[in-house]
Amino acid sequence: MKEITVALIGNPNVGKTTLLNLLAGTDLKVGNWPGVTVEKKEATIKYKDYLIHIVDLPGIYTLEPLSEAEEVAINFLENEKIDVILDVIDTQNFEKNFFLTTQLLEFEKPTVIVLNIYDEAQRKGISINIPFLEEILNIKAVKTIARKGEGVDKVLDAIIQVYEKQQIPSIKYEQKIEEIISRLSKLLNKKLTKHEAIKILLYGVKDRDLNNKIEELRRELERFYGESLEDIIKDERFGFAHGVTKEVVKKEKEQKYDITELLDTFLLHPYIGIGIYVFIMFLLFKVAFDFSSPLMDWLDGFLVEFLSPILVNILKTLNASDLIINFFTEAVIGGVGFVLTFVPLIAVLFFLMTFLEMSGYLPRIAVLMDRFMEKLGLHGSMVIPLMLGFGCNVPAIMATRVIEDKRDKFIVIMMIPFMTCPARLIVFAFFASVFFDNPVIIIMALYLLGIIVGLITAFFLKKTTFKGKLTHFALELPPYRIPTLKALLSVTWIHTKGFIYRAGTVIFAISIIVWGLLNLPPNIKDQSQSYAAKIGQVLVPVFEPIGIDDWRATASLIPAFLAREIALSALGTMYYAEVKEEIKSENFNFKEEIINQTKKLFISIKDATFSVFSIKIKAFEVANEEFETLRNVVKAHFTPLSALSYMILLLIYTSCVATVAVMIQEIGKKYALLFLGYSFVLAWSIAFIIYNVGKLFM
Amino acid sequence: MKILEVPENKEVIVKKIPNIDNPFLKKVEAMGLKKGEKVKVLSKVGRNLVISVEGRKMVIDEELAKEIEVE
Ligand SMILES: Nc1nc2c(ncn2[C@@H]2O[C@H](COP(=O)(O)OP(=O)(O)O)[C@@H](O)[C@H]2O)c(=O)[nH]1
Ligand SMILES: [Mg+2]
Repeated sequence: MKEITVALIGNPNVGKTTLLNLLAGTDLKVGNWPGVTVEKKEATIKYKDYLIHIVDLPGIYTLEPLSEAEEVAINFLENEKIDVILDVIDTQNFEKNFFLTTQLLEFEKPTVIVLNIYDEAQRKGISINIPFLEEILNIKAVKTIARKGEGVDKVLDAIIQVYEKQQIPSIKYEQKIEEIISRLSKLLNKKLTKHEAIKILLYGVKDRDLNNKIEELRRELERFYGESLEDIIKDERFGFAHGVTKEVVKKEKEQKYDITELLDTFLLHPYIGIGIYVFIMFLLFKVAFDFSSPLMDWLDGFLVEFLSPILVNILKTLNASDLIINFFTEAVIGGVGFVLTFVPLIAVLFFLMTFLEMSGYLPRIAVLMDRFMEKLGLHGSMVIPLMLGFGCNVPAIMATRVIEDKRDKFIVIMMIPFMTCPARLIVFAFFASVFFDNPVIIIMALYLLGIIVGLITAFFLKKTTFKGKLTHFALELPPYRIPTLKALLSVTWIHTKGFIYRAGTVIFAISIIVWGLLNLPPNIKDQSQSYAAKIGQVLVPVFEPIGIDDWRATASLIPAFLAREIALSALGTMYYAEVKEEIKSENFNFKEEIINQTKKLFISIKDATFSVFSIKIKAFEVANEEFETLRNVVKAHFTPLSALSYMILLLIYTSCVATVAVMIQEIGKKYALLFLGYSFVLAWSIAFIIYNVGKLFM
Repeated sequence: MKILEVPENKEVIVKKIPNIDNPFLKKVEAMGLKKGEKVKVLSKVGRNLVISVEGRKMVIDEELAKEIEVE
């Protein structure tokens, strides 16, 4: 089978990743803001007789890199063996996109131009004369609406066609430039592409003697035009793009109004905009909490009232020993099952975050927040990765690769781990609802605490290690787009699936280990003699000053380092040992219970839907009092203040292997570990202060 | 006149982007804010200008805006 390597390239936010996902059935991340793709991602497609490798590259405006992400794209283009260039264009912005296209044509590689976002162009009365475009440039062009999948099937055929014919694009610059380039070719005695020739003219070669001759050629050109070579080349490229645009783009009607303009009048307004931003964030969390909370209550009940008794009944009829029954109720139901009850919260939160990300609102937040960030010496575009951090810290840290300034990048990476991700949220949701009358206020306060700690850290770094001028702000604002439901659900599913997968693998394994440690050495009468208790007790002195003196709680912090939700599963496993007597396994009527549970599910869906429409956040207010659950057991081992300490610890300490790993990758081992230590000391100190001050009042 | 001094919503034409060694200016230029282009300053938010350049909307800060000559 023949293989073709294709470089997928274009301006940021033109639909490259959307296109690749459709072509290859991958689910790489798509978003409506410049900078979603920060590394190269490859997908391989079998098509006809070919194995086509398509490499999705970060978006660039020009071949001169500003950020690390852009460097990745440019290095790939210049140094890798590429058979076909697949250049994606936002059709409504043909001329602006074509500046890059011109530079790509200079590579003189078989090229396919994808005229994407054709729908929005059509709405603006823009159309492209495709046959003519193909003829004048000797390329293939395909119009697509990647969002809806239209025209995408023709892209692969076009790739194969230009490859088989080895169709080299024709790009002619002004006569004098062409003349100099061909003289340069003769001088170096090899055929040069335009890209190579221009690069050599600009930057020279290693050989000293040759360089002098090249210098002469450059001087000649500069004298001819009376401009610097850089300007000559730039003008020529812009001119070429303009010329092609004039030939092939037809614009029929002027647009009357633009929804993006209308929205931005409010959303980007210096004052109203901030108000709307705060409101949107409030709404996001309100809907996430209120919609998911009845569903989680239902899942919780389903687990304890339904699944557990069934499991116990089955095991009993199988004559299983007590030990096995304990294993299932404690490690499986208490550990894994308990964490899974939070799936609705995770799913709804990701759904809403993805909506924000795909709508095109994120760059606006960056602009609005720049005013406040600037006062701290920070850059507004740092806000985008920070917002992403509320979804998951790991991709948020990756997203910092588009930040142009190395120091700024470092600083944001030091802030992101303090942004509350859903894994922390579920720990907060549980503890806050058990110990506080107004759980939502506590949760909001913790979010805020994280943000403040992040800002203080950044401010401190900026004032000490990273003094220096604020970098420039230059950012494209994409048009607002309503994401398709399909895209939203698919991204939500990817994240939720990840969470469920972890529950079934890592969390399950940890639950087994924790359960094992809890029941070893064999034949212990009381869990306080178990290995788990011993380990926990070793740590008690460390955490006692902040109010956490239960060995179960301290022991749960160890596996929680893998991922924060494990704190819950570990606690669940350990405390379920006390709950299990409450699980009713006698008189269990299967049929009746199924009907009962189904009814409850419908009620919870109804509640979920209605609660979204109330102004107040209602979630977590009424704890489920029907039966003895984990909540009550936990209540006996924590005080509200020590619960707060526990939450603060998990909030601020970077208790997540994945985050530490990606930090090591981005800033190196030394700084990542230093940060880890810093976050622990900080977490402990803040918890200490709050705990002890709180004690004075309680 | 510099683009920084242009009143909001007035359409002007870019006269010159200086050839100084500032990669941000190069980026802005590649984004489409270049000589001969019609531009409009839509609003000012903090230290930034929201501008529209035929078909594309972008934000640049005042320091960059000080460099861009329009008429
Ligand atoms: N209206 C419209 N939007 C599109 C089309 N293709 C992609 N998009 C949207 O454009 C945005 C950027 O897409 P993405 O694939 O992340 O672009 P990339 O940065 O080039 O990889 C997303 O919001 C897509 O939903 C299209 O054909 N029509
Ligand atoms: Mg992308």
